[in-house]
Amino acid sequence: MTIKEKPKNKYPYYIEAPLEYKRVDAFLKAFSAILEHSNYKFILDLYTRISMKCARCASGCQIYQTTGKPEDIPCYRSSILLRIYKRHFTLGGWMKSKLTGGSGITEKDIDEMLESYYQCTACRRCTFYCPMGIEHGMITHLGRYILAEIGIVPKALQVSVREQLEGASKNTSAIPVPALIDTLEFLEEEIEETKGIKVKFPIDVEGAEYVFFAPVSDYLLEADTLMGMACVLQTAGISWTIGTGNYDGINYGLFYSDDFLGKIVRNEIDEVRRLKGKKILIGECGHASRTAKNFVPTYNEGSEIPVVNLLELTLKLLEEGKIELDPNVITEKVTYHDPCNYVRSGWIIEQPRKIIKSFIKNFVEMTPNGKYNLCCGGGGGTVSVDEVKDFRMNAAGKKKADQLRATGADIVITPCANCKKQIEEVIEYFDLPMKRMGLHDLILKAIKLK
Amino acid sequence: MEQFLEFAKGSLFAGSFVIMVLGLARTAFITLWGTKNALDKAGDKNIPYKALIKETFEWMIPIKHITNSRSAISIVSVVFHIGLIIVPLFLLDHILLWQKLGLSWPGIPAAIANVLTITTIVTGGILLLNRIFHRDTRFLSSVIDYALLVLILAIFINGFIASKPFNPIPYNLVMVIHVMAGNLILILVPFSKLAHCFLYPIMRIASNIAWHFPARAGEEVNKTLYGEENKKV
Repeated sequence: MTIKEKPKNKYPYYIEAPLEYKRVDAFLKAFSAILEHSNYKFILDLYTRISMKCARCASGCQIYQTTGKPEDIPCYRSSILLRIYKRHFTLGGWMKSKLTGGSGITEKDIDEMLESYYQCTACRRCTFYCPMGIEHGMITHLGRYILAEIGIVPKALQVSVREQLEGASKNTSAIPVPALIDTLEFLEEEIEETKGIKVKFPIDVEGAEYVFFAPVSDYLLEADTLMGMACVLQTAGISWTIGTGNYDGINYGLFYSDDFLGKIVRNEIDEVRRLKGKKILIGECGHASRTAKNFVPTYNEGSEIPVVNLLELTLKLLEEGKIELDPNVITEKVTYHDPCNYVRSGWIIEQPRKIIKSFIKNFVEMTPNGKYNLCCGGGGGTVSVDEVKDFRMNAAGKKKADQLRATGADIVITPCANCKKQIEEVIEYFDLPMKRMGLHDLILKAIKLK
Repeated sequence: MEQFLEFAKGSLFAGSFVIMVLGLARTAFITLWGTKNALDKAGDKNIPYKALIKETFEWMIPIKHITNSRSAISIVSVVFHIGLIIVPLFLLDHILLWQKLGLSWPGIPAAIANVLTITTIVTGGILLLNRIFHRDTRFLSSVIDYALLVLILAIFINGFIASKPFNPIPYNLVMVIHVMAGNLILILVPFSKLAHCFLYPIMRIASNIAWHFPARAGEEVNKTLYGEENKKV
């Protein structure tokens, strides 16, 4: 395996203003504040007590499987933070340090964590291999959160969140409302041209059943996915709208900060209330769906707002006979990539398969698939970090490339926006003879419009 | 020696048992209190208990999961645990000890106990070799991970050979080692990773609860660190 040597820069990814001194003190202060106010303390306490060090997780981690470096074993990754927790925040650790003179956290630990926690793609596959059910992905999440509080966070993630929370556009790609409206008008014309029917992208409709949030990059990059979705929703007579107050489903808070995670989810909720909508509809994106599904109930202080993923809704409409897909349009061999944020919780596994099998004859599964599918290699926000691209391809992405190649498919369906970017790069980097598409890109081709 | 053996089987055993019970009570309190607090603080209190309990049972008898990774060593580990749980509790000689503490239940026939003891010694030995020679496991292991396994093996081996005709060591000496090591294990249960025998049932539920964040945690952390609820990104 050829992974380039670490860049000369102390940090493996670009950071705006890294703290260069007293990092240890700052880290402990941030760790302490997070333990005080969040829910991590009790679980760290449990994990330090029951981590059995059996190394079963090693065979579940595609990164370790490729790099072969024992530092990439999930249990080891977690043990860095657990050791610091035990030494500095538990009675047993304090007593042990007095008895053995064991030193506490060092600068070296921080260097190790800032690299390690951004090499883990937080895909959470390893949890399925742990007899104790330790969530190593949660430790990665927490490690990144603490690091972010001392200024260590990849700039790529930080600038996106800054634009989303503080910028004029309120979205990660900085698309202003007029540009959004132009794009949607263009998409409407495009559908009319290719399908011969006018399909609307409703904007700021009050009282709609669904308020729609796509990962905003879809408006720049995934025209077919959006057109496919609009065709489905209009054909089935669904009342839906895009809100101009907030139209971005991306939530990088999930990848490095509980603070921003909450704020971004609250902004989604506010937009639904402003429009008097009833439900949140999230596009094909994996992490956008998971953050809304799992965290809207946490941060919503008003009446309940159900969260629906687009694939769930499309399947429901298909089963109710409200949309019809032509089974003769797609003739290529097709496979499907399960995004981690859909499948690890068992939420969206069968829905896309039922849709696919209803109109695609030549469908092959990749192995493994479903709950156990391999991460695209760019999970946990790492796909946005260009500085780690070499690692993303050669370490995290290599197994994915092998898995894709083995299917012999012409098309890989990739719902999640992060996976879409990573798999596109994997296909190019490893020269795979296939193209990647969203599920609604294919639905756009096959849907019979009324 | 005989007197000391009686002392080890009597007062020391009772004392070790009490330390274990108190230690586990402390662990139980910390864990349940922590879990309850986390649930109280969580912004979303919907926990899929049914699915988590199902998963917990599935992993307890891990037929479904055993082959998903390192199958051979996983099967060895499961077999190891069977004897490890049954023999200390149900061997007829051990029941006499439990009776001293006022506890009583039926025992298992000596033949079955013998078989289980042998399987535990053999599988425990394999686990120890695995820890020493398997690169991943060795990388993760620290002294205590080896020590606990050695201690358990010592208890089983001594207990097994004590009354056998081929035992070359004086009976009382073997028994003293057996009982003292057993007492030490009891004391270590709440304070080492052996606590997993007690904490296992709550692990998956606790992990799930930990993903349920308190709604204002981010703001509270900001207040503590920066003096105000909102910070610049």
